[in-house]
Amino acid sequence: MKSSVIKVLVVDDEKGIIDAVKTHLELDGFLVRIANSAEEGLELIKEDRFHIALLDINMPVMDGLELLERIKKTHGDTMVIMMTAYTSLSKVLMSRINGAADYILKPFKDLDELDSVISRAVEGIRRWEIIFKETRKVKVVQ
Amino acid sequence: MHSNVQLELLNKIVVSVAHDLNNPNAFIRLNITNIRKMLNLIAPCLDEYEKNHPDDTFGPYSLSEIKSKLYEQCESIVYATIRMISIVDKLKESTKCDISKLAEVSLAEIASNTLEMHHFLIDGKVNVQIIKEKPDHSYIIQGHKLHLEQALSILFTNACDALRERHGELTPDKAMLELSLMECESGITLSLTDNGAGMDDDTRQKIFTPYYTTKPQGVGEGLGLSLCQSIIDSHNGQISVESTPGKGTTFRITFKHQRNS
Repeated sequence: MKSSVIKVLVVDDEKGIIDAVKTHLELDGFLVRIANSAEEGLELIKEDRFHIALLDINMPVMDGLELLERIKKTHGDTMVIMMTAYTSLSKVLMSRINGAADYILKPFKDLDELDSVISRAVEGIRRWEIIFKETRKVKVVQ
Repeated sequence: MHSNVQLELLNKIVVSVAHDLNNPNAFIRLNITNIRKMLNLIAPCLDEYEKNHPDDTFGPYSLSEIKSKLYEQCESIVYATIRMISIVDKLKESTKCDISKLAEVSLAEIASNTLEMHHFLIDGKVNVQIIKEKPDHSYIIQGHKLHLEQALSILFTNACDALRERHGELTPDKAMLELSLMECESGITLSLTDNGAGMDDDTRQKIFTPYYTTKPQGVGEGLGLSLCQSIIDSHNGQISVESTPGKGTTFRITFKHQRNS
């Protein structure tokens, strides 16, 4: 997977998990930033543009669903992937309505599952980039 | 009724334990995969170093030995986490069953599944003998597979505790477990014998009483054998125990044939 310019934000209040996910994605060539809370995630979103955001649904104070809404308001093109335990499936459906691109169930039984969710997101990003480049070419010609 | 309440409690505990085990297991899996990938990244540098310094040793090992041990141990950890996933899945599956639905189950299969689930307690530590006089299909009863596995698991865990109490660290030359299945005209008997610490008559008479335990505070809740008896009762079976202090214990479970009933 060619992923050198893809920026990923991971937001989860389980520090051990996000540190491990960060290393895993960095080893695959992604640029990764992590946040331990939705509030911290929002601050990072203000500073930088992320292609992919991995958001845990169950977090204290602001949960992943609210963070998703806030991200989508200002960064509609960020591919948001929700992470959740099997017990919050109804919330995953809610996130679909609010613009989440995909989901992954925690704990990750198999890392291949995480990799394939990320792969699908990257594929989507690359496809939109083609359109973006084409429209720029059209503008230059005009 | 009593047994159903206890099984419901057990199911709740199992679901909670399964959830609690999955999280750290995922954490181990993720990290060990990362470690293996990083090892791949530095492997060429290690090879280069060893080529230039062939006589260097690190502790008792050469660099290439350390490298191959690291890979082997990563593989072992990955294998262990996969086993853990499978065990947790089996535990979760066991909570989805309805006690009122009985089916034909093989006691031989139940015994072998239970051994598989306790592989980590016995492999390379206990000499396990399985004695079956007839083919597996001879040991069929009407029962509840997963609850019977739970009952046998309790006996297994207790047997391993008794073995440790007598022998300390377990090795196959000292610790012995014998699981036997016998079929006779009246029914099928499953016996589990250990050469562990055994128990005196006073203890033996109390072991099926709820909340009675001989284990240190915080280790046993004293519900295991009471639950085991409830499960056997709900299958119209009988459980008995013989024990000699310092020599060992035999639990014997008998299920009457139900063909003509």
